[in-house]
Amino acid sequence: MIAKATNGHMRIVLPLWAAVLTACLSSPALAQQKGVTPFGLSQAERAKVAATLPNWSGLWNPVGGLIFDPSTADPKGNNAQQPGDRERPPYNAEWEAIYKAKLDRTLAGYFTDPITNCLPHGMPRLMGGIPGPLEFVVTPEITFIIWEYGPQLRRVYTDGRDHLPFDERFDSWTGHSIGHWEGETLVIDTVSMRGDTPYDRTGAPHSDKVHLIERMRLVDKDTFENDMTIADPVAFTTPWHVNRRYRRIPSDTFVGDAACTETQHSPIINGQTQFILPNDPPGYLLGPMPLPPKK
Amino acid sequence: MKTSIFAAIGVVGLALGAPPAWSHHSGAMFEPEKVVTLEGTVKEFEYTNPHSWLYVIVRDDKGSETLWGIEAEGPSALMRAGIKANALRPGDQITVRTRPLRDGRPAGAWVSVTKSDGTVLNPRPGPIPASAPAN
Repeated sequence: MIAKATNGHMRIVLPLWAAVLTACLSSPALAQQKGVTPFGLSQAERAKVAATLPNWSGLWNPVGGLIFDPSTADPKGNNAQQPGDRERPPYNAEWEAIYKAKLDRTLAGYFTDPITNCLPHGMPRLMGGIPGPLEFVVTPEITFIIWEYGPQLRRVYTDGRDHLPFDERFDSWTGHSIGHWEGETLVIDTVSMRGDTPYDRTGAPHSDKVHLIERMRLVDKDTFENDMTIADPVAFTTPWHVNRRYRRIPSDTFVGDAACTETQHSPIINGQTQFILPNDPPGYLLGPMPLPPKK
Repeated sequence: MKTSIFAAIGVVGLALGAPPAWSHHSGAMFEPEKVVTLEGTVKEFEYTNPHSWLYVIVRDDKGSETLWGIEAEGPSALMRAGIKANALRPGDQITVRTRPLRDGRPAGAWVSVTKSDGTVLNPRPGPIPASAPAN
């Protein structure tokens, strides 16, 4: 059904894809690229395209918890919340050592996560290491993905544009996402993601060369799937295949704006998550908090 | 008002697959397997992001007061669990079950709150554990 990309696949297909897009942008004759819709159509033309797009409206919660890849969670079933919780991305020896050092630091009682300081989750983490609900706003030219937590937003351009030229690219929290529709599947290519965001609270790192291909679709009316293939030529020996699902929750569920900086009692100071209370003595800082040994 | 502080200690395994209680920071600062029961008076219920805070005045047998801070999920998660902004008012007499901080300061994670009319405020679905699960 879904071909698992290999390094070779990523290297060969992507430049071709980029070349096709470049050709489209430079040649009006090729403007009819499949599965994309330029901005500026008439209402009637646009409505025709919209009628072909799937209905992803409603509210969705990730299945499998807050670890990016539940299928390689170690210990099995962990939710990325306890010191030592990890997963198994296909790291090379150098990056496995970087991950191991972060895990050892959590076991020594330091448990930090950039989002605790109210930084954005970043990508690819948004697709697996953040609680729901999330929402999809599908339009012909662009699909928005909105998270209550943050709130945070991804824009996926399906208007036929390309990524920025290599020498103009710069990194951002959500990166740069371009997509096209293959029937009712949205295929997304994302680059330019910051290298300082982990996949989840286990601290699993990625480089700023990470390249994400997603295939999003409805499996049935209440089940949404994102089939991800993640290339990271710096950190991985082979692309990482992660399949995440999201379950529909009732559409009338209350959703607000979970603005992280509103009342921040737990900043990270001195490499430790603090817990600041009204009665604290001046200058009180929490030290390392290793868990008691397991019985 | 006579108040008491006693610890109900039990041991449970990890409640794997349970919904995440703490999405903004880790729960490693809380006792993983101990729940303390407090009786006291609501000072303030801060219905805020990323976490809500319930401040409770707890008096010991000698009459000295301690202000406890009880941390819960933010407003959206509490709304979805049926715990609304007006659920607790200053002056309310309540019983709080909390997983306390491991460094001994008077604060902890909200397990459940029982009001004087018997209403139980439990932010997580399912029964209230005898001992709260580790995060």
